[in-house]
Amino acid sequence: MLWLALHFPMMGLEERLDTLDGDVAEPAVLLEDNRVVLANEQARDAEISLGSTLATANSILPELKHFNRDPAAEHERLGMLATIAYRYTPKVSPAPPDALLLEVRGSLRLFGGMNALVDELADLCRRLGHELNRAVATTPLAALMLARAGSGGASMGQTVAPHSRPGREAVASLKGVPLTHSDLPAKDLERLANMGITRIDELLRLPLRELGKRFGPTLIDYLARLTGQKADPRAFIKPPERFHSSIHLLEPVRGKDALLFPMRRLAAELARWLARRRFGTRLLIWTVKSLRGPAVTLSVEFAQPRRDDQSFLALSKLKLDSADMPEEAMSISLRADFIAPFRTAFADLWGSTAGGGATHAELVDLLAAKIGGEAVRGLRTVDDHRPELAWSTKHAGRWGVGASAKASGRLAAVLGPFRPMWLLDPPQPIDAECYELVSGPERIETGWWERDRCAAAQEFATRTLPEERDRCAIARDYYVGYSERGARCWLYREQLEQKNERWFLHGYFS
Amino acid sequence: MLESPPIEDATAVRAMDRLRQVPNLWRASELPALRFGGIKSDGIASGFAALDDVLFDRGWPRAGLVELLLNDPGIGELSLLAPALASLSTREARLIAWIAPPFVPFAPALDAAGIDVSKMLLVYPDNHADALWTFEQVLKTGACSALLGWLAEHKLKFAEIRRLQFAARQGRTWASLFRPATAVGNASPAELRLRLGSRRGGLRLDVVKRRSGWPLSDIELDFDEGVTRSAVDRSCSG
Repeated sequence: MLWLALHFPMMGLEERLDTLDGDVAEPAVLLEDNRVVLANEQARDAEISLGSTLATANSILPELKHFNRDPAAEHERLGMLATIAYRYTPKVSPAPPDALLLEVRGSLRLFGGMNALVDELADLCRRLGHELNRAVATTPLAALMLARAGSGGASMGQTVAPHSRPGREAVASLKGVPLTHSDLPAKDLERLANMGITRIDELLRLPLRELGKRFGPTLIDYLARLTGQKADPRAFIKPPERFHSSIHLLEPVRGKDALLFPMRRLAAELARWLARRRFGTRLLIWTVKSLRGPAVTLSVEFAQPRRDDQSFLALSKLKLDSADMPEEAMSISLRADFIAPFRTAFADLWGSTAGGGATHAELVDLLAAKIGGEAVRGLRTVDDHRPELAWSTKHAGRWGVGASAKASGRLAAVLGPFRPMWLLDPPQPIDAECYELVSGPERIETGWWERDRCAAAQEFATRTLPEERDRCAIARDYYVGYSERGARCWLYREQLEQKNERWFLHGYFS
Repeated sequence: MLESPPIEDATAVRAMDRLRQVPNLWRASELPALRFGGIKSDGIASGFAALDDVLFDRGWPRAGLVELLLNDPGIGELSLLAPALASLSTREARLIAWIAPPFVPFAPALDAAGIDVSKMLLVYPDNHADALWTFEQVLKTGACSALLGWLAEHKLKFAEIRRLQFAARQGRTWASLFRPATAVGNASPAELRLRLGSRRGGLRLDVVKRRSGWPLSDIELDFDEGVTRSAVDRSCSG
C-alpha cells in the first residue's frame, strides 16, 4: 500500500471565493465564531493573524473580504475533489474536513511513476483554484500527517521504497513532524506538550504500555495505525450512479446561441464523467430555467450509448433549434439517464461498412434530434391475417433499425397471398364503377374471436375509436382491379348487415 | 485582340485525327463499347434486362440521384425498384430510407418481394425544409444504401436537387426522387431521369436523361418476368 495524501489547506476559503466572480487576488479571510480561521496570502501579507477577531482584521485592512465558514459546502467540495481524483485511482478516501487519501500503488505504472502522477494531480488542483500540500507514506495516517505538516513535497517518492515494510518507513519519514498535525484530541496534545513532547518521534520513543495507562487505548490505537502495526482500512468513495450538473448563469442569457456556451461546458463535463467510468448514456435531459415561466426540458435520445461531447452537443443543438426556449435563461442543467456500458463502435478491417459512413444509430439519432423521434420509424411485419394489423411501425431509436435479418421473404413469396406494396391507411371509400376488376374475390373474414370484446366496447362508444372497432372484426371481399389511370389496385367490398355494401381502395400493387 | 484565323475543313479533320491518336481520349459514342469490353459495371442490377441495357452502369447508379417521373401513384414504381432494393437490403448492412412516402409501404408485400423489412427506415418530416434537410443528411452520412423520397414539387428548386445529387455522390447512396411527370420539361442535375407510364402487366418507361446516351422512349418492362411472377400466378389461381 502506498498512500498519497492531498491536503487542501485553504479549501474553506477557496470554496467561498469561487462563489464570487471576478478578481480573487484581494485579501480575504474565513471566519468561524467571528474569529479568523483562514487567511489568504494577501491577507497574511497585511499581517492579519489567525485567531484575531473580524474587528481587528477590519481595522488593519478595511477593504478585507470576509466569509463565514460553511461546513456543508466544504464537504460538498471535498466530495467533488474526490470524484476528480477518482480518475487516478479507484481507491479514493476522503479525510474530512480538508484532505483526501489516495492509494496509488496500482496507478504508478499507468501514469509514469509517482512524480508524474503527483505533478499531474497538483496541476489539476491548481487549475481548479486549490492550494495543495501532498505527501506519500506507507500508512494513510502518516501520509495525512506529513501532508498537513507540508513537509511531504521534498522527500516524496524517493524515501519510500516500493516494497519496504510499512512500519519502519512510516516512522522514519515522520521524524520531526510536530504533533499538532496529528489527529490527536486537543486535550491529549496539551498534556503531551506539558510533558515536553511536541514532536511525533518523541512520542513514538515512549513505551507504549505506560502511554496506554495515562492516555487510554485511543492514543495507542492511533499510534499503531500511524506506524502500520495495525491495519487501517479506509472506506473508498463510490462515484455517483447518475450524472447531474447545472450551471447558474451570472446574468440572464438571451437567445439560443448564447445557451450553447454553458451547454458545451456541461457536455464536456458529462463526457469526462462517462469516460472515467467507461460508460455511455442513451438519454440526455437538459433543463433550462428562467426567472419567469416554467422550466423548459429538452430530452435527447440516442439509439446506442454514446459518450463523446461532440455528438452530445451536435444533437442537442438540433433539438434546441426546434424547441421553444424562454427569452431569458437563468440556469441550465444536464442530467444523463440510462447510463449503460459503452462499447466502442468498430468497423471491420476493410472498412466495408458503407465506405466510412455513419452507423444506423448515428443516423437515427441525428434525424430524431431534428424532426422528432416519433417521425423516424422502423417497419416490421406482424403475424396477422388482417392487412391493417400485418404491419407496424415504431420509434426507430428504441426499436433498433436493421437489427434483425429475418430471411422469410422467399418463402412468403411462394406461399403467401399476393399483397400490394402500397397500403392506404385508412382505406379510401371509392366508387366501384371506375374500376375494372380482374381477379377475386378473396374473402378476408377474421377477428371474430374479438367480436365479443368489440361489442362490449361499442357500448362504451366514447371510449372506443371507430377505427379500433373496424379493426376488431372484418368481413371483406378483396378484388384486384385496374383504375382508369392504369394502376393495379387492391379493392374490397365490405359486407354490412344492412345489405348495402361499400367499396374501398386499400392499396396499390405498384 | 488576336483574331483566330478561320479553320479550314481539312485542318479541322487533321486536328481531329491527331487528337484521336491520343490514347486516353475517346469519343463519347465509343464509351458503351469500351465499358462492355472489359471495364466492370458498377450499377445495381435493376432486375429488368431491358432497362439495364440502356443504363450507363448496367443498372441503377450506386451513387447518384435518379428522378422517377410519374403522375399516378401505384402504376408500378415500387415493382420497378423492388428487385434492386431486395438485393441491396440483403447484401448491404446499410438501411433503406423512405422519406415522406405517400402511402404505407406494406411490410408483408415487401417481405414477399425479398426485401429485408427490418432495414427500412421511414421518415416523416413536417415541412419542406425539414424534408430537404433529412434527404440531404440521409445521403451525406452514407448510412443508407438507397433512399426513396417524395418532396413538395411546387417548392422544389433546381439548386436543391443539385445539392441532393451531390450528397448522393458523397454518401454513395442510390437516391430515387419521385416527381410528377409535369416536371419532365424542367432541367435537372439528376444522374438519370425516367418517366413512368402505366401498362398492363408491367410498366412503360421513357428515359428522359441518362449518362452518355440520348433519351429513349417506350421501353416496356414486364413485371411478370420479375419478382412478382409467382405471386401473380398465385392470385390468379386463388
